[in-house]
Amino acid sequence: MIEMKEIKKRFSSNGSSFEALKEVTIHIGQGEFVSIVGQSGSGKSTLLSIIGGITPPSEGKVTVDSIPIYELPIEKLADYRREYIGFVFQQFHLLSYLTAGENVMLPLCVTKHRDMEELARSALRKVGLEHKMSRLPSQLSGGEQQRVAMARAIVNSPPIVLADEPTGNLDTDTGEDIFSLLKELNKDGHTIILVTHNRELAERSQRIITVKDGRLMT
Amino acid sequence: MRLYHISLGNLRRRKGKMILLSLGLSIGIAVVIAMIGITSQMKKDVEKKLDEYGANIIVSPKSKGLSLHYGGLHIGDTSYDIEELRTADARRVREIKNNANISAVAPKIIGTYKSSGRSYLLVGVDFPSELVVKKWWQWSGKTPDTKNDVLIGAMIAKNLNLAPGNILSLGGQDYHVAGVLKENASQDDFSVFLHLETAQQLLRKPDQLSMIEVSALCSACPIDDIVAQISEKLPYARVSPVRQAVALRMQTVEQLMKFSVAISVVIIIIGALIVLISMLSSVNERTKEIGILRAIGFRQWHIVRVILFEALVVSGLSGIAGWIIGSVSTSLLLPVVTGTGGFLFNPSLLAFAAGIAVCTGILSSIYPAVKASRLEPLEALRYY
Repeated sequence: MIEMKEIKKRFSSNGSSFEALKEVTIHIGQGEFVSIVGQSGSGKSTLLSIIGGITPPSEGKVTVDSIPIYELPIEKLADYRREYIGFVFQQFHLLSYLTAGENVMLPLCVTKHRDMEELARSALRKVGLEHKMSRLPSQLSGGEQQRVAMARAIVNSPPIVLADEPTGNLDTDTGEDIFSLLKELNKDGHTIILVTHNRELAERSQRIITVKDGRLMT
Repeated sequence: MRLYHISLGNLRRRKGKMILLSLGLSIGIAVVIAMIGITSQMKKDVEKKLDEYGANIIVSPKSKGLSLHYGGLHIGDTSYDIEELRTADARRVREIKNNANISAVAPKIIGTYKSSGRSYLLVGVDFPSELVVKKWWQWSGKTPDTKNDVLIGAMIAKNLNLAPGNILSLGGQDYHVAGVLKENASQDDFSVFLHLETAQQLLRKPDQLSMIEVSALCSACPIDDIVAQISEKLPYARVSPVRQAVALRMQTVEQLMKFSVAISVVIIIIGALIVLISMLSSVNERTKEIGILRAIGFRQWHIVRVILFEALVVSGLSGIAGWIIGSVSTSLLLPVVTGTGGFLFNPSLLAFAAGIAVCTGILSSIYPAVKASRLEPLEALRYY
């Protein structure tokens, strides 16, 4: 499903260049639950964002369902993100002035989906927050906000869910709940790619990819 | 849930800043509306005053030879090939197509008359019409009424020691001095104004006219058309527009309008800059949010629409508020500025105000919107 071939990623700033990924090649099959682990600055989040279509690699090719995503026009790449990818961020990234329900509906509103509200309700039901649909993020706990973010990630049933340290800002029990939700999503057929520091959680996924200094460790 | 919900939600969140932005734009629009209201009222006022200035078309006999002048205006020749004007010609002027644009037709006969060793400049007029074209006249006494009533100039009154109610003898006939004109530094000071028929008899020119003054100055008056129509009716007469009055009116009105447009343009440019700065600031504050939206699949055009819709709402409301503030201000300022009132709320100005505000808001927000849409999702998210 996801093919990354000889991916290199360099970041340049103030005249100096930093290579975050060095010739990374990965294949991730449909329905897999993969954890990417590594130390801070190892390149794991960069890897995730390249798969997610938000950072083009400096070199190499990424194909998803045989589509070379970085060869797509910019607006088609946005469509790819909306149709193929569900993002869950460490800092939740909910819009503070929209209710939980409205936040979940965001990916649908650009396509003027007919059953938008019902789909949002269903997604929130999956994460156990249907009853808090009209609450603002500020009226929810950290764990609840992350669950709303997960509902937003799955509301349009993308085949791939990318979770970047989703438990990083949560206590252990809440983090455990979020991980369980990811497992459930995986059972529903979503391909899950989880970036985490937490080796214990990673070991409960199907496969672990370790990144060190921009390279994959075998 | 639609894209505009995001715009409205953001406006609610940034209520204070948006109110300030709206206030700035509203004041700009209000000033423009007040400028338009005041200048259009001033224009009407100037037109009215210039209407009161008097005649602007002179009808005189076509002739060759020695010229006669009255008040600096050419009124006819005396030598040969004279085509006399008749009393009926004054009525014929009223028969033109643009009759509705004519406010007064004032026929007159002018001539010198000797009586008891003195020379008088006699001006025979139709008093009701004459008083319309000579609105600046002021006199003591009463308005001439009967055929024996005369109105005399200030210098005549002084030289002959006459006052209203006295008798002026002309050719053995006594005339009642109904009024004495206040000095106005013109030929009027030395003239005796009397009824047209009486003057025609005294001057032995029955039914003849020296000239006809026509007052046709009005808003958007087709002065050249009126001149052409009178010429057609009176082919034997010379019909001349008094260009000075028309030119003065047009110049004054044009200057007022140019001034108003110039000030309005400056204000709108300032308004546009306020919107531009405010929207750029809004975009900078929302870098993370834009990154999130782009990451979850919003196209660049979706981001542009969200920001432009915010501009549309703020500027549209500002336009309406500006119209209300501007209209109220105009009503309050008009009596002070022009000494007139009567400004009415003009709904077409509402459409103008909203249109100008929306155009300013949208055009000024295009750059911030495009800038926002071009933010790379990862760069925007890494910002925080």
